[in-house]
Amino acid sequence: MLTPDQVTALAPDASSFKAGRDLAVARKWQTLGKDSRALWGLALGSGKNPYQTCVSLDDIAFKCSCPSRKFPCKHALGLLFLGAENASALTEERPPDWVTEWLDARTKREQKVSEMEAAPKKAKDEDAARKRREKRGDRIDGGIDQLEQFLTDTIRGGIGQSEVAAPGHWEALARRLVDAQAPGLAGMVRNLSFLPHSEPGWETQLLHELGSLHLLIAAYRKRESLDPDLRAEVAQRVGWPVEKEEVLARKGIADRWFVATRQITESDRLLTSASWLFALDSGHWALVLNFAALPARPVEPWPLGSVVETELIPYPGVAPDRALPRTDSAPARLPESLPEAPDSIRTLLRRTADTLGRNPWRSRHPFYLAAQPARHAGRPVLVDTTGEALPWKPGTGEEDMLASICAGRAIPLAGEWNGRHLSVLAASNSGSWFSLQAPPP
Amino acid sequence: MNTPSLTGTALLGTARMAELPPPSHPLLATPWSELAGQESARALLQAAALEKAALHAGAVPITDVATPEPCPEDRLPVAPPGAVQALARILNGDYARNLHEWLTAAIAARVLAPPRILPALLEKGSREKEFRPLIATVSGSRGPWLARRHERWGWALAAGQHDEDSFALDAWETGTTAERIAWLARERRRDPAEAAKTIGESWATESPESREAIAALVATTPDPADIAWLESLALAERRQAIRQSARQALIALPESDYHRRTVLRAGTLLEVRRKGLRKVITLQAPAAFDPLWHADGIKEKPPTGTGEKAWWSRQLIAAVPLDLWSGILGIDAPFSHALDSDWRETILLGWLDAARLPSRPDHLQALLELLVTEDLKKFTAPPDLSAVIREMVAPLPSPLQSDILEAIAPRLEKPTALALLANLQPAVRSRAHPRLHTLLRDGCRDTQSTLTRPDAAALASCIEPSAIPDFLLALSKISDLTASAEEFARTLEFRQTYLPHLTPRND
Repeated sequence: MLTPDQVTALAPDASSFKAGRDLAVARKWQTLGKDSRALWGLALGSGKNPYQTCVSLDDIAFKCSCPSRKFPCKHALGLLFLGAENASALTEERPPDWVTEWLDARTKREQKVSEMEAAPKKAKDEDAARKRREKRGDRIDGGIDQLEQFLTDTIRGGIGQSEVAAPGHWEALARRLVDAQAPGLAGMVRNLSFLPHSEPGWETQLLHELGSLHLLIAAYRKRESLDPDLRAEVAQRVGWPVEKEEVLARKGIADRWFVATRQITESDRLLTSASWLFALDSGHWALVLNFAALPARPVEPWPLGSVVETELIPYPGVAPDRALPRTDSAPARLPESLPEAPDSIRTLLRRTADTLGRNPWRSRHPFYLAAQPARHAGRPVLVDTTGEALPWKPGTGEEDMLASICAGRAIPLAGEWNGRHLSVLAASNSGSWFSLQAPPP
Repeated sequence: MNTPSLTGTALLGTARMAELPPPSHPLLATPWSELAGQESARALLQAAALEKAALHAGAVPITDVATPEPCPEDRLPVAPPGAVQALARILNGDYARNLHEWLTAAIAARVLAPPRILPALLEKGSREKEFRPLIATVSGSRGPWLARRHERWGWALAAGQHDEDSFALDAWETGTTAERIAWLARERRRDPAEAAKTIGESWATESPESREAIAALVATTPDPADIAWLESLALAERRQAIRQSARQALIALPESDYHRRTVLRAGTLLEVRRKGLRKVITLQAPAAFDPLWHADGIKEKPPTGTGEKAWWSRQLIAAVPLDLWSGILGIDAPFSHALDSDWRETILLGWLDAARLPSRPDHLQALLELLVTEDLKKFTAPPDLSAVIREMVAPLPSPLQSDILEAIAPRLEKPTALALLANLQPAVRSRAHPRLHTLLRDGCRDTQSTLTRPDAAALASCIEPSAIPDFLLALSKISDLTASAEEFARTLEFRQTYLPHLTPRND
């Protein structure tokens, strides 16, 4: 069963959350029930017939006969909140037919999907695909020439020129790179437009990012002479897509993965849900991404704070962070106690240095660390149990909140280190693991 | 200017660069030398990439960080998750009026607010003073620990703190107002005479704000040791709030001059006399305004419509707390006694004003029972009945509020009674308060009612926890709930999300 925090994190938006909360009372339901596989209920709506709502507990999947396009809908959220807070209200013990039918159909469908995946793929039109790739390669080469010209012009004139700080300066270039089918480069360029005047020392930061970008295009031009992993890394960063099949053909890491952080960001109505998973046995980290176009929400099979025993397959590349689950259907369970936080500031810096030594473009370094907030020279820092600290960039209200939870003692925290400051994305409070991004509590 | 940095050069542009600036770290010397022959813009960009990688890979921890002294461990557990969710919703603005109940229920259940929500609770306490004592209690030891983080949370340091050692010794000399008042409260408990001496000595140098805070503290806990400075200094203050606090303190101290002269005036004003067959409380109106009254806050000029003598008499009566009248008049139950019909309004209004001073609940109830039977239309300056009741009942603990309202309910019009309940939200227990219970039951079902939704939510908060399921069952049988009844039901359901998790414990 999920905790109220995890149900909150599932809500697609604030209004669904509120509506779901209001539905978490028995009065709004005709019948309510649960067994080991599912929660179900008949929700009294405005229509003549109640809605049939069902949540499958194995993989947290939802079904509701209401017309809402939100996912999960308020009825499913209400049912989950009831299950989390007031399970005794779910009195029915035997699932009605419509519940078992849905659950059985799901199991069948899953079997079918895995059979289909196992079946050999139809041979694609190799010839046409090769032509498309060649065409794309030409366009990217053109985009890269433009980018290099732009970078060297900018450096010759100096980054102190006023137009460098104008948002349109980088945006126009980013658009040209999108046209050149190099979305990776476009994204890096777009990020540059946020730097000017963002914090003291932004000039150095901008210069370093320009250097990084230049390094990337220099490496891309020499790609034929690079070893295969580095070539794959560079191609992906420029914007060559990696086929899912190609990833699935690789060897994965089977482990018990702790879903340490989850962050949902929006860009151009595309939601990206990014989760850092930590391998409890091997100590690996993996970044699993899920996407959805608004108003839909990324479907996350594994709740934050759960542990899932499964195989994650790293993308090709050098010290790759991103990984793909072999299957979504592995069951997640909530650990009875939080896994021990393995990092210290020192091990995090060590790992960061190792990673950067192999892959200078990696900018997000995950951590799972016992630490507490403090101030150093008037600025927020996080101090680990050995007394070592790094700068920390707290979000609104985060400093007081973490101070209150810690009360002068280190607690498990997970987040990212970007070489300049730490960001905390999830923390523990009274044994429950929660996302700092979720609506408060 | 120092040696040119990479950034400094980049700001100006390589068009003006003579040669690549030296590397920022000796380790970069070898790769740097390979950049020498390259075109200057490319060389600078490559140098920047090197510098970034070196900088990020070579980051070192900060070592000399002072961590805060750990907060003492709490012995009480944190409220269970269901109750915590409800508190989070309350603080987000849903069902905001149920905060009081949540806090009192948590205190009775001997659980603490979760640390994650504490900053939001402390903010709430900074904005709304009446929650401070409750918030301080559910904050456990974290409250005072966190209070040092922000000046505006300073009250949490004073409110929850009875720990003798936790004050800085120089709190009185150097502390914030909140810390000084907390220090003073402790000193007054420890040695009232010494504390009074301290106040007297520093009074002249205190700001008006801190004088007001000191007087307000003493008004709630008057001590004979304070008489000297109260009479000589506080009564002569310019600020009305300070004088009022001083009078409230002094009237509770029979040894004070102020008490003596005020009671004396009251005794010459009202007395019990035989009139025909009955004993009646009569009023001997003063012939002229005594200039000495000025100093005791009696105003000479009456508001329009009120006679001078009635005005002076009302104020002289109002200066004496309800609890003293039995002694002054020499009768047991002054508020159910017959009154001089010529001065009936003046005496009643005077007593109603006096009810603002601390009084025993049974005296308040007796006065209210007298008031609700009164035909206020006959008054020249009729008071607003529900406002008066609200003001008199509000300071009392919740059980007494409902007892008093239960006693006077039959005399009140239904909408007035419901509005009072909605405003005060006392706990109504079905068995002890059958009239109020019926009032609530009919009020939420009444389809014609003009009850507003906020009032409906407030009424739902009066119902005792054990009666909630019955109310909900009754409501579920009504097919078409009005908007206010729906609000009533929703509020009951909301209370039901946390109350079962917060059952009172006595250990």
